[in-house]
Amino acid sequence: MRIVLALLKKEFLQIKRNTFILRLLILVPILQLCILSQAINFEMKNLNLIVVDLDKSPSSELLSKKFQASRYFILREITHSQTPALQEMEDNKVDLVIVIPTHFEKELRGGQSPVVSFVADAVNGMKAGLAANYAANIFMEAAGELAQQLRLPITAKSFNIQTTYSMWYNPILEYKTLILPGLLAVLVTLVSGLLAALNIVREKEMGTMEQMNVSPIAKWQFIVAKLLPFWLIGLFEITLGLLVIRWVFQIPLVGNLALLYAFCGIYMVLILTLGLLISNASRTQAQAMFLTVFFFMVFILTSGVFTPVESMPSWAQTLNKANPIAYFVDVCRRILLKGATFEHLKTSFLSMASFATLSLGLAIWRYKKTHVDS
Amino acid sequence: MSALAAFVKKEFLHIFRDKRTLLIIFCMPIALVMIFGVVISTEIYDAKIAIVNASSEIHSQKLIEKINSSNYFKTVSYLRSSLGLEEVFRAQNIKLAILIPQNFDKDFGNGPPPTLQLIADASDLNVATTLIGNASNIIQAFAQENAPPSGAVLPFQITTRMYYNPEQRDVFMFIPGILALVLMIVSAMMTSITLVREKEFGTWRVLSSTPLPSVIIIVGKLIPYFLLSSINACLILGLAVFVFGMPIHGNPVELFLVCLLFIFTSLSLGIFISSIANTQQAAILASMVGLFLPTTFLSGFIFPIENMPVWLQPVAQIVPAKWFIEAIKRIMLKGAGLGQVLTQIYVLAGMATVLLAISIRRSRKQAT
Repeated sequence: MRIVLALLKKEFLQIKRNTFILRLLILVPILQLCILSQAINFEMKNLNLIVVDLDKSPSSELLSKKFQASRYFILREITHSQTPALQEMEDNKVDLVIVIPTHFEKELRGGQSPVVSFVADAVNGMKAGLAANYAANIFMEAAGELAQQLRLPITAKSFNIQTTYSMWYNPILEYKTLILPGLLAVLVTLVSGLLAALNIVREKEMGTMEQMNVSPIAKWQFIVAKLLPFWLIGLFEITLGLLVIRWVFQIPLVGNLALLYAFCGIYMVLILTLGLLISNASRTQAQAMFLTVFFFMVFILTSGVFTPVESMPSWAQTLNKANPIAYFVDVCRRILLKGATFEHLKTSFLSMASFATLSLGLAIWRYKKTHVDS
Repeated sequence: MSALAAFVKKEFLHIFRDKRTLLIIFCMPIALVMIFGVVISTEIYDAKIAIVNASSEIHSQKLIEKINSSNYFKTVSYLRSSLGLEEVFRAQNIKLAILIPQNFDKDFGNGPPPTLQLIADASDLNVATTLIGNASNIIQAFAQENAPPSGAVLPFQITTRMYYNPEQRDVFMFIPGILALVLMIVSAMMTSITLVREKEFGTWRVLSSTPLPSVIIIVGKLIPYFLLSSINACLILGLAVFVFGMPIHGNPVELFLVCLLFIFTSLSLGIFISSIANTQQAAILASMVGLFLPTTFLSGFIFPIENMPVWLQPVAQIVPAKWFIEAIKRIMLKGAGLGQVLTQIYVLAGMATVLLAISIRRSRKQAT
């Protein structure tokens, strides 16, 4: 135990002396949570729209005007010719062009069902689809008024079905409430995993690892002393992140925080031992960084932080059962947003604990005091 | 010139001996393209839902059948009333509940329009909006199908044309971003780390005491990464075109030239970072925070810049990848020529010049 304490003291001294890293550890979570959470937003607003009104009738005017008050669209202009509007689209200045054909009103009166065309810039396919959807909905709402204005018979009004919707667990519809726990998970993973991996490789690169190896330090003592500081740093980062979420973003944390910390504790063991495994496999810091970034990037992208897990193909969802970051993100969200209890999360706890044990065992087994330069 | 060639050869030897890094350099683009092309999408199929049916006669049964026959939804729970719905949300982790009111069968077709209620688990807002959209579309289609021909919901028709990406493939939007991210990692992060490594180990002194001018040393260090990045660019574009069928409507040579320009800008970023960092750790963390994260989040790669708050949009303008992604999208998907992406080209070239100038000044100061 004395040896572990002495080693711990060394590690903490080294961390404390590295003011650059220290500053980074405090600044990065705050900046990241505050800036990135603003950037991550799929809610489509400010869609640029041009209405090409070739009919210039009261009916076409009524429809065009409907877009002025929409919260999704910015009606850039109502023009009467199509070519310049499409040119604007090529220059990225407009997302959707709606063309109301000539004789629109005449055909409406004649019951001929004229064709309004939507032209969307589908480079971003999702955005284009949403824009077309929103616009169609606005037309649906306007249809009644149009029919009234033209005194069209609407016979089958009762075949219409109205839908209303309510959003549970996130009534103010803030994307941030979802993304912040996710970002927090990513942050803790990247920072502590990377730091732990780099730390050990640095000792290798500098040659001080040899000194450690020839000293009478047991394997477990070395591993504990190397990982404990980063374990604490990880929990510190989580605390910092939670404070930012609570006080900067004013998001109520409804769940049991002790449960969250317990889960984080297990998760950190996993991430740090993974870092240790990576450092075992690398000789230079550049290698360690690439391995970490590569694996964590794959894990993070498929974890459902930024894109819904539900939209992945089913084989990928099955593979995700082995993705620790996916569990962590999921548990963070369920505890922080839905107030899930241990009962709800038992399987996640069990899986995470077995991952951590497995990884710890691997790390102890792979770490050799004898110098094998592979 | 032969000195430079010898130096480049030395650097290549270093790189080729490090098999693991080399492997990752080439695996990373492939893995990223595959993840974004195959795994990540915005469409949601087989979402778990619950149906609360208080009506249960012919029309509502038909509606439920219609919902179940779509591949968007998978009904895991049927309820008679909304009591206990909350527990179903929590226990079965359903994402949406569709509530059919008691008067549905009575009113549909001969009363006031009945109202269906959709309740979504909005803890993931994107999922919630998508599912509500999908459900409303199915319900509207059901209404249309069951209405008599004279009673269409809209008195006119709408046709939608999706320009530049008719099938709305997500991967077309992601490829330019992946290209930017990989080129940034290989050219900026790797060069900054190798340059700082020489500083950290003191081998920089050894190099600078050789008769080689320092320009040759730096250029010699950069050339291998320039070549590796170019290969990577070809690899990603090749995957995009041949595996995912992404079109190159513009001139491929011009496209490649823009890639080379971006590699050059990234290399100057790498030099800049190496001029401010003294240890590899610092260089790594600085490039993570300063390059990797902004390129992923602020460049419009995954998240559109127009959606960002107004104060954040100017920040996105200083991310080089933003300009590169814009140029690539316009050349590949919209068939623009170099003349139409001049702004982007000037910005990237300008950034490279400024970064290089600052780094040269800094290194002169350090040398004296």
